[in-house]
Amino acid sequence: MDVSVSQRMNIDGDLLSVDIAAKSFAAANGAPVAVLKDLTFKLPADRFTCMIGPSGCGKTTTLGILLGLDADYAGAIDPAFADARIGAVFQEPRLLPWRTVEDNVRLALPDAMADRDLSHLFDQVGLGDFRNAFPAELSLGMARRAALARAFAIEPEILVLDEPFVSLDETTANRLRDRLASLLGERPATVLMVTHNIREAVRLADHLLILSDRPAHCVAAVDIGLAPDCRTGEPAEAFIRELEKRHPGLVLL
Amino acid sequence: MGTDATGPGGLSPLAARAISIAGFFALWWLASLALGPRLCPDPLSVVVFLGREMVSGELPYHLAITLIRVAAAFVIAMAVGTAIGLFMGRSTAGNFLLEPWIILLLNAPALVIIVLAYIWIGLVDSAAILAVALNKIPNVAVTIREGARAMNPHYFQMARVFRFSRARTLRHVTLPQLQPYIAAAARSGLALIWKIVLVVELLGRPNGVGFQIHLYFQTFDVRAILAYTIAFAAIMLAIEYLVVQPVEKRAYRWRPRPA
Repeated sequence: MDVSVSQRMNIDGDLLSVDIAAKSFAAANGAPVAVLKDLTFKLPADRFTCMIGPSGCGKTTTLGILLGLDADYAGAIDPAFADARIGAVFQEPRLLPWRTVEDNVRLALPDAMADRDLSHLFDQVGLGDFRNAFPAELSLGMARRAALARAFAIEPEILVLDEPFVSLDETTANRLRDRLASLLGERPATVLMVTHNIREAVRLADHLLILSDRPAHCVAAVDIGLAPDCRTGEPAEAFIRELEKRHPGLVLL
Repeated sequence: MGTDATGPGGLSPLAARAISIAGFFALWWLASLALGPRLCPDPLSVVVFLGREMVSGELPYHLAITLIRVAAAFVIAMAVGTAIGLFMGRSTAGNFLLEPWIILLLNAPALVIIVLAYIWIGLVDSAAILAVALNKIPNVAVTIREGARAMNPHYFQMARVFRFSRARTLRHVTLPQLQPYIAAAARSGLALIWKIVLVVELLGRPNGVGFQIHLYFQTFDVRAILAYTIAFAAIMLAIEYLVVQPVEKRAYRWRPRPA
């Protein structure tokens, strides 16, 4: 079987560039701790990019910067991150507990979309019967789906996902992965997803960013040139073994 | 055995409340027997007096005036106190800036604030309401400040990413998180405010429950004093059961109910 791991990017179309020269936090004793250093990568437009790397290497910090939640860094990110409609799914669903599922989704809509019919979207994420439920009445998997619906409701140009399927059982997580893939099939977006799970990345992504230990920089940008039916099972495992050989310790975490 | 809906001894909440209120009147009646009608008139004579004042229109008039003052001072104190508390809780600089003022106001005797307001502004309603509100604002601010510090930054990050407007953030993210603190401030606020309104009326207004009680104090009419007190307490009880509790129930409907 031919499994190629290409080290260069060859995707046509626009690229969103991210160039974070340095980002540090103050430790408890006041000394600065470098979290990111010379983290440079490009996101191909309307493609799915996954970012993997060791635990605590600064992936969530990077997303915070891209989402405009953290302006305290040195470097430059593509102005598209400030201008485009960005949908986000955080590690915790972050639904407002005092609003119903539907209100949570509607509140995120820009004024121009305020009266959108959301039935199709709720059906797609399997929450058609739970639109009037409060988040406390949902399981974690359902809350994650509601968060996914919120991110898709705004018809995002950029979609940022921070380990959206973590701490779910594998069956539920797989069902959610399929839902995400089908939502993106209907409406493509430039996706950046952080994950610890290389199998999840290979299953979903077109493009892979491998980050180093802290302070994080991008060790490799890899195209996942696998056909849709080779995304799981033996072809995917072979691809992962090859990747692990090239970047020991950073792929299989 | 009692079920979940019943209290100690298997009483329904309604029965428990009825017994509590009946006990109060029984105790009162015993006191009137011990002290005599001049010092402590019995409940019936107070109720009869209450009815007479009601028919003459005297009691509703003074009650309404006092209620309007309570409402005005309450609204001002809650709005200003919440804004200040939010500012102090969200901004370290704001906290340092305003904390000395809050401590000063918290510790200033109500009487001093009332007297100064009357001297500087005059014996008018605006001075009376301002004095009452100033007495309550620091309590509200301190309570809301605690609430503002306990707010979850995750929700604000979500609101920023999805570009919530300021108004939308305030209404759907900030205020719901502050709701328990606002409820606590409102409940203790209503009780404090109506007590201070009576003092303000006694010192410088020609009407209201406080003025009437002062009048009857001078003629040593305990029956009238009790009648006005009872009437006002009944209204506050009605506000608690008919307004405050239903509003709270609605505000908390998203919480998972205990099984």
